[in-house]
Amino acid sequence: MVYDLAIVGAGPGGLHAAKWAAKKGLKVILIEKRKDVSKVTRYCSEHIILDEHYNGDTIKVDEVQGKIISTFNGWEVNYKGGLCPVTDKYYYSPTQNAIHFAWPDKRPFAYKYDKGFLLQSLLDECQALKDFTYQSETTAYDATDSSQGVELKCVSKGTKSKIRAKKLIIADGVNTRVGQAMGFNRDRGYMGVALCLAVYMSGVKGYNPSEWKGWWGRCYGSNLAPLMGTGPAGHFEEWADVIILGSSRDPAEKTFEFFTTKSPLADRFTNAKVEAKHCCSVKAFTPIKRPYQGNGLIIGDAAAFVEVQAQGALSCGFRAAEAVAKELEGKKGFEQYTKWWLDTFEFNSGGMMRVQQGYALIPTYTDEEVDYLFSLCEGVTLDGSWSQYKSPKMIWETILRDPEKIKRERPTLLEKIRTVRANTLQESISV
Amino acid sequence: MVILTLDGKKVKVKEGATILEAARANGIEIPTLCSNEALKPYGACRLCIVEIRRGTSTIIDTSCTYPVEEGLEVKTASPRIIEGRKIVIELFLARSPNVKIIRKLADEYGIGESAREMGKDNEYCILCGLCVRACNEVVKAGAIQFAGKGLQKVVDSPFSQTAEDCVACGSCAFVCPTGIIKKTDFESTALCTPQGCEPTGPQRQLLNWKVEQKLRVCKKCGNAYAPEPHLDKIRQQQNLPNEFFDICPSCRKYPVVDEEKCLGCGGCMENCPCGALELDDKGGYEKKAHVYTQNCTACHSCELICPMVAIS
Repeated sequence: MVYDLAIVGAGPGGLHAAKWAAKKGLKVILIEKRKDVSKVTRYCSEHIILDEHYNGDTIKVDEVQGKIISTFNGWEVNYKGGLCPVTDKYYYSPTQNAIHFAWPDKRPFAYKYDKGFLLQSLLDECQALKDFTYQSETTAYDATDSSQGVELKCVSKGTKSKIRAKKLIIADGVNTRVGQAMGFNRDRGYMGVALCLAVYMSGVKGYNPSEWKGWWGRCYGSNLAPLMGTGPAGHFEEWADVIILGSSRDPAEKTFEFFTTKSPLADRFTNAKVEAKHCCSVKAFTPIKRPYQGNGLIIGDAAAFVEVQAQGALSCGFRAAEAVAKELEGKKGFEQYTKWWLDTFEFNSGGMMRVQQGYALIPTYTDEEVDYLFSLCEGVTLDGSWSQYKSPKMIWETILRDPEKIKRERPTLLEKIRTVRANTLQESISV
Repeated sequence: MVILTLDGKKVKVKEGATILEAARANGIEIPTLCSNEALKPYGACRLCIVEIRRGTSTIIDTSCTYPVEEGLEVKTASPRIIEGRKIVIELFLARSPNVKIIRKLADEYGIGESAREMGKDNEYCILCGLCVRACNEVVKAGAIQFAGKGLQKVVDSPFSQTAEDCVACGSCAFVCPTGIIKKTDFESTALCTPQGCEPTGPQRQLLNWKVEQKLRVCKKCGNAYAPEPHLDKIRQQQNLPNEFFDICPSCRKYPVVDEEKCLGCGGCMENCPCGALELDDKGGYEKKAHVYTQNCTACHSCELICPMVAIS
């Protein structure tokens, strides 16, 4: 049997695409490697970001009706799971000088949600539709494209099988196995592997579920800031989510041990208990500029540079279903999708790579210099923002609002800032 | 199946086989210099000539190029054939008196010195073409070929310059029956200039084709094991992952997942090019990666990506 559409990956993007494609009457098959989508085993920070026009969209959360609403792309998703508002974000220097993000009226700028719950409710919606086939515990590892359609190679419990479909949506996430096999990664810049460990801990001193914190400084054990945010749904109040980023040279587990026992924050963790651990490894590539090839369309994180988050993935899925339906009618749906893709996501414009470079504080600056830079932001509350493009921009605008002062107090540092900021993110990482 | 007579014995042979293959399958030895099972028949050395009776006519032809037919009568060592082979060997001996394999053949056939004149008197290459054919047919590099005609015919790199398409696999040296193609591996090399010497790592040298190529060092044992361009070529031909040849064949083992450390993130399966890794669902968060060795090529890409260092 030849399906109209095969989708690899039952994440928010894949499920949303499946839902809308099946609603349009296409014969859809969705392939997922896990047994149960509601159990998220690979780490994800699970936040809905409310920044205005973030990733080309403004998301509204209707807590009363249980809905997540996109104002620009025009989709709505039912979500009746747990929600925890995030109202404050703090970035700390080694001596606890803080940069503070919050709205004056303390309205939330992000919600911690339950990704497993969201995926399960989307899957339930899909399974109620008649043209939808779901195949779990099946890993797609290769695909070949021809004028007749796509042949997907799958494996389940060691047994190989093939699935044929007219069109293919690749939504298998950032490490995109199928995208790699089909050659989507050929022209992308490769930046290396990021390894991430997240530990849910109870009994952490100073934990507040409505705050997100990051600590910059070599004294915390890593070049990448250890982070602490809201714990998983069901344990918002008790569990803190401690996130450590590592690399093959700096194993995350060692950094975690250092952070909780030897860093200046060790006393917060004296009575803490590890409740659960998650991890993930992410191959970082520059974004795909033309996310389709033949009969295949690549969406969501698989085609992106940094995460598109659940909201971006939902938009991608929604648009991709539309694009495939159009392609099957003989119209240029994929090209339309490409245009939308390039316009929507900030990382597709080159300038944003430069902005994100603002996060690369360590080891570019010494702990003492970070202290000084953060002290310049003392007493200022920046707008509540989660955006990885807006936040570093705001930080550096605040630091550099009085360059004369820095010139007076630290002439060499100002020079250093200027040279470093001329680099792009890619250059900073390679250093 | 085809039935034919080989040295008076009726034998059954698969259709499409050559007389040489039929003889070898039935334990009859025919000397050859230019044949190789992995390569197409070529008929250059003429040593494998046999007497073939087909109907009423008898001919002499090379057995390596002659396909079997129903009712053929073949004699592999008749006086006529021995006489013919002696002439061939004498010609070889005149051209290449110092090549071991030729000397050995001459001794077998009782030839002391060649009375013939070949215009060349100490040539090592016998123009069997094995190297050229191996390079084209097996390696598919096409780095070397015959050049010149008649007495000037030689095997050479293009325009006698460095063979740019050569992947330094050494197949030519491996198949050469005379040993004139020299392959040398150096454990360490250096590029020396008046400013000083810069180490260039282990290299393979193929002097005949003026080729020097870097050898890949195994990330595990640290031994140099194969030339870089050859590995890259195989990787592209077989569509293997970039990391596939980071580890040498003797270090390559099936991955083992440490279930104590594995958190079930699935990064390994997302990077597995053959779908050999899957998650075992043990309920709750208890998901562990599982290796299905029947699908595994032991490329170790999972080991390199695991954030918890749980795969080895």
